[in-house]
Amino acid sequence: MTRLIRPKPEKDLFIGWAADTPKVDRRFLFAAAVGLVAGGGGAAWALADAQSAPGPGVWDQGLILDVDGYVVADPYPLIRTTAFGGVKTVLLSSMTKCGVRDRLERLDGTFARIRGSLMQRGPHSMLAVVDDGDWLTPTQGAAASAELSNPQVRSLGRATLRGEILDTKCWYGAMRPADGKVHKACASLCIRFGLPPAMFAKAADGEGRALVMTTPDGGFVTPTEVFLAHVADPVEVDGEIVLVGDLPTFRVQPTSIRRV
Amino acid sequence: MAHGYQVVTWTPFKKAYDVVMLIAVGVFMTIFIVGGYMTWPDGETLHPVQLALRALGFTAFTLLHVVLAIGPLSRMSPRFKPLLYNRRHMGVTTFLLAFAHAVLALLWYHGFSEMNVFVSLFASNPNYGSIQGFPFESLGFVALVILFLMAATSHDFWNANLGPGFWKALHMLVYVAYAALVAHVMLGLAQNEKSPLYAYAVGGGAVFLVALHLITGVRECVRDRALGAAAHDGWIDVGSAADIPDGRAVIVVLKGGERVAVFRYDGKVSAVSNVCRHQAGPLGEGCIKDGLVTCPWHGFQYRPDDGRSPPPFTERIPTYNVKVDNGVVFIDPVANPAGTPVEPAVVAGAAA
Ligand code: HEM
Ligand code: FES
Repeated sequence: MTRLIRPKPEKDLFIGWAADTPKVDRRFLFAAAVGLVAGGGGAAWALADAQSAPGPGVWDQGLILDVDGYVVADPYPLIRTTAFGGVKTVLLSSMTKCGVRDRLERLDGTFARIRGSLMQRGPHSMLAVVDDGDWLTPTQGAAASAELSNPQVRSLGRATLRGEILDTKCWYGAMRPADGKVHKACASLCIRFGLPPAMFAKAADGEGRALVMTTPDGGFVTPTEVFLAHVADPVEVDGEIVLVGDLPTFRVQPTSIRRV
Repeated sequence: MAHGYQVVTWTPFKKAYDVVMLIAVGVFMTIFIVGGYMTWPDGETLHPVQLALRALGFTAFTLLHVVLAIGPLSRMSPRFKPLLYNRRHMGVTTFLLAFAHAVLALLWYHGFSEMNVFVSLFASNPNYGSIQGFPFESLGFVALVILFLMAATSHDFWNANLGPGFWKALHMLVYVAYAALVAHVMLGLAQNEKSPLYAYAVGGGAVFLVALHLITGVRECVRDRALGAAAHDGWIDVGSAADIPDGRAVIVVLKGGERVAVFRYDGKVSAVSNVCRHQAGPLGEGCIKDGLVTCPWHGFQYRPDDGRSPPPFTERIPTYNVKVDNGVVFIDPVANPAGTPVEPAVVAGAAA
């Protein structure tokens, strides 16, 4: 079959390279331009407005602090200190997506001063230690030191938590947002290279708590590929909630994690 | 050895086009960023890097919708045709925005660790077997590679050297990129966010684009069908010469789908391929300007009697033999090689 098409003869045919754009085209194009800018602006507002709030974590990298306290390498590198009023557990990390266990082991279980910048989100704190040599100096223990070196370990009972596994550093303030699928790759990198994983379960009233995850005997969770694959996915985990000093932890059998 | 190619030159129109596009991009990004700060609760703003990452991703994806809508819109109404003229710049801008988005994503989410960023990009989320858990970043990567290939070959130099057929096929990949991006956002941000707006917006955008393409496709089919032409001793009856407006053409669709543009001008009739050597624009929807067949898309020109662009240009299109019998125009459906001179048929009574 042969067919015939008769293009509508346009009176003013637009020819791009011709200097003069026909009047009808100019008027139309002006309207199209206004429409594009206005429509785009409206869409941008709607897309911006619908974003959920990324949480209140902060990390002031410019503010370098010296924190005195009792240094522990297990289950995760941390310092217990009274520098912020009361006894507080502050987790330790490097400036990057990498833990500091190897760099800390020589002073495990001693009193020391650590230099770094603080991440904070509600009661959660982490110190990112500075990269140069003098980030860790041994000190003599203060008088009230028993509380720092020998925290009370208290079980709050067993629980099945539903939520997601996230990395403490990003969630405490290194990133916003620091949860969910968009952040999965990053969280799994952090945990793979030694940052403490936490189980985040939302309380009914919104802002939930992140419980640092350990093995059933309170040791660090080895970041196996199976464990890492569950990071940031919706999961359900059975375990025991245990307060170590002021730090809430969740003791779990890593093989018992279920995707929901 | 490079073919010659015509330079589509700067004109006030083209400048205005770019200015409007850049203003639209600027307004979109600014409102997105400011809007975020205005609507988040105190002390809970996105990290600036992550905010920039999102602003760039959304701007690029939105602009891609505009790029993809221009094609069918310009077939629906000639008023939209001018937007085709500089669409290339819109495509390249889309790529640049998407590239910046991808660089930030790689740095921020995959950098700062002992693992190579590209290894992390493909391996950090191993859930390739799951639909819901699928690593959406890899889909963004696929789209980015396609957008890069298109942007890199968008210049007419490549069109001339790769040949319009291959070039067109390459640029059809944009639909693959688009599909990958729909999944990139649906399986990424849309899953993360509580608001269903993101899923609706992406779905709505896809419905809009598919509908536009379907409507124009169906309309063209129906329009093509409505007009028949009869064969005549191997020659094809194209109807009365008087029915072709002066300086314009009718388009004949041959059996195999090949299209021929039959022009009437100065009391003569000539037939050439309907396919512009540039980006396959429909020459038969163009006109004769200064004695030359002029493409409606970017204004490439060809002599009607031999299908060659006037020197210094070297483009050639196939020509067809024509005759006029009793005021009725006939064409020979067998194409002559590109650039073959054909004596125009004289319209009886019109020759002075
Ligand atoms: C290597 C390539 C790419 C990577 C690694 C990548 C990565 C990402 C990531 C991680 C997100 C989530 C960010 C967040 O919300 O925090 C995202 C979202 C998004 N991406 Fe991509 N992307 C890539 C390519 C592209 C391309 C080519 C486009 C489009 C033109 C695009 C458009 C979007 C859009 C619209 C979003 C949703 C808004 C947002 O969350 O940023 N992406 N991408
Ligand atoms: S001038 Fe670009 S397609 Fe004809």
